[in-house]
Amino acid sequence: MSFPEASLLLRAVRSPEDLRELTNPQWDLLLRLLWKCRLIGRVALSCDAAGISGSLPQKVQQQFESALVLIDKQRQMVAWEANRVGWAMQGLEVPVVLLKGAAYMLSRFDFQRGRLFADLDVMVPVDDLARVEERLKQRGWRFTKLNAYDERYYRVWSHELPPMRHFEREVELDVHHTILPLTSRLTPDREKLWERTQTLPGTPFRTLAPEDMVLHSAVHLFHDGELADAVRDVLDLDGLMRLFSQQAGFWDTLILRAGELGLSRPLFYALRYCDRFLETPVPDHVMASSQKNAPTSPLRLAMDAMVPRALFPQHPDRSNVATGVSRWLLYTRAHWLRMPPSILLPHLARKGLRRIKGRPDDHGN
Amino acid sequence: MNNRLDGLTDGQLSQRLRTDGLPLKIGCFDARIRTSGLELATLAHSLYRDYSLADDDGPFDFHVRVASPLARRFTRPQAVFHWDGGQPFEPLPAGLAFPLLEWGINWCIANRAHRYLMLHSACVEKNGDAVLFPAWPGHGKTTLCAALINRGWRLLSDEFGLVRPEDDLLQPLPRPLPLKNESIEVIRGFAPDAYLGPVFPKTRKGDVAHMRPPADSIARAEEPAVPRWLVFPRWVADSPTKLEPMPGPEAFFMVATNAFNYEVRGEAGFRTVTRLVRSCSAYRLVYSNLEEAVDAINGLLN
Amino acid sequence: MTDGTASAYIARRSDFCWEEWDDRYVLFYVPSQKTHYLNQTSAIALQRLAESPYTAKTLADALSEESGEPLDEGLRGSIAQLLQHLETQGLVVRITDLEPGP
Repeated sequence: MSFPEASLLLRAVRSPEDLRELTNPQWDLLLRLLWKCRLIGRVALSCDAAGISGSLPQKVQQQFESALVLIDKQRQMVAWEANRVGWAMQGLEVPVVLLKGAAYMLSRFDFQRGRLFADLDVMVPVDDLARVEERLKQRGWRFTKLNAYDERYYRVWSHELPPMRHFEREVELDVHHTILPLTSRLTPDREKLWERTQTLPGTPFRTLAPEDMVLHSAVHLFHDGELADAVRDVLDLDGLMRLFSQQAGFWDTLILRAGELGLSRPLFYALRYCDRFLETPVPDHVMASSQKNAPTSPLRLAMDAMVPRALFPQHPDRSNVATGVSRWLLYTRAHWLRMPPSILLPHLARKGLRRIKGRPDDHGN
Repeated sequence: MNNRLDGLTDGQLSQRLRTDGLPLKIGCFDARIRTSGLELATLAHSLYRDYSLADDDGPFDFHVRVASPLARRFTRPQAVFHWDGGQPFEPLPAGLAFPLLEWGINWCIANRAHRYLMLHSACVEKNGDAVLFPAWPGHGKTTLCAALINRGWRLLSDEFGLVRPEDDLLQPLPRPLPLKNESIEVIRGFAPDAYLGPVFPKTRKGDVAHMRPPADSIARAEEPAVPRWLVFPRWVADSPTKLEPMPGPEAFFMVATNAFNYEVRGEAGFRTVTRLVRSCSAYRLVYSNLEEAVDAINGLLN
Repeated sequence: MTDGTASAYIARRSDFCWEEWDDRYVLFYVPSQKTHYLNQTSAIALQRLAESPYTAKTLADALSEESGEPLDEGLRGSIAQLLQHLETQGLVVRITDLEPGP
């Protein structure tokens, strides 16, 4: 990889035992990058697991320690929020699917240890949405402050209720009714998603099927969310695929399922970049089959040039014009994919203004 | 070998702030401080004079920068605090760049250093034993702390009671003391020899002037202290000095609610506060006369 | 909320960290990471619930016996309220909730 920041990060994530060799200036940069892309907990725990924590510089050990305190706390708070949602839903007989981080955490997947997240994402059937909203309000959840435009955006175009928060707690609750906005170019059939959801033992919740978890993660990263500093989401994808590949038939089901749900393109990107950055052991025939869903070569080349720039954090002291442009193009692309132009253009105009105003470090020296 | 900041000339200091940054040891934290479009060398020199320089290579705990945005530099110059690309505060007028830097550094510590239980508390030490003054802002902890360190106590911190996870000892964090409003004149009268920086008028906390910490407190910043007393101060106009014992559960509540990260530390925080409250004597102090308050605190030693 | 007067409640002892000063109690509840400052009645009620299940009625009986306070409507009412508060805070669960749903 051509960016020193990216290769330093990937080295930390892929082979923690190499970290003993780092010089102090390298550590200085790495710590900043790890905080920035929220991977510090993961790397701290893998240094523990590799038995090298005690031999790292004292400053590094202390920052790892501080980070793990914070991460443990946030994880406990998200787990408690899930507990409270479970309690609030009692008697409604509405199935609740945990999505993303909370699903990985309560499923006790190994790769998510040390992962930092602050929100709880759940999915409920669209027909039950009103009852769920009503019940949550009765039990102390409130919509966080939104302006009228955002409120309308969520209500009309989005795939989730506006974010909620319990009045006594900090964790944000996002209640989804499908995995992509209603306006998106991709419209996976939500009935199909529900059919294969699974119970999560020891909890009142369900999770998506393994393949659907991978696809949701891919869609979220490449079609819905922002790619900026999202290397952590690539690690989620890698972790999910490595874990599920131990189940017989996983890869073939994954390809089939992507076709069934119309999500073959995001799967292509997921496989391509996981393989490229993390050497995820994707079987050759899966890779070859996924190639059929590659975009045409100008687009593919453009994505290959831009995605790494967006995924990996920049050097915190230097702003880079190419990276800024890549991020802006990818941000616009994600919106292009989720809304028709008649909604998109006014939306981007509003968001763009806010981003320009709120951009950190636009006065770099 | 002199690796103290006063080994640098104003010119060298200014150069470092504007280029690679000034590596500064702030108690147990190493910060790299940069400025752009602002000149803070003279102020930094006078108030940070006795601090040591940190290792140039890092790793640092914080990289901070105070910058004046070019676009407004000639109309209404502003100071913006940057922390690793983020801007946690609204910009202030450029004239308040130094107080902004000081608040910013405290903010970085409060948001990151979760290995410590961080009490919102002044603390001073004598003979290895420490008094903690946990208090809400405006209750006079900084003033009382400034008075005590001019009467033979060592400054641990005027803002942070850092309790170490490994041994429950207090980790010093001597920083310039931001005296506010009337306190500025009170301390000038109380301790004419103390060095105070310029008065910054009309900050969001009123007028602020920074007192330079005693050189000895900075030199001994790696020497921890045993927490012995919890004193909850409150300045009340014209009140006689009163020092009364405080019951355990109340002290617990006061310590826990006056901490930066009691909640973040979860069960460990609960256990630490419990040990602290059980091992310290707790008092409520009401005062208006600073000399009497100092006498009352000195009385604890006997 | 369904009528809970006949329901039994229980708490999990291992989730509690207690500190006691005379008749005042500070409780750290591990699952919610929250600190609670309790009076003696609430603390004893919660400690009882961590030993075995109680309904509002049996808990009122037990507390009246322990404190010598007369068992009247006032005590019954405040115990029922206390239980509801503890449930909202997640400190106790209704036992029917532990059973698998239909």
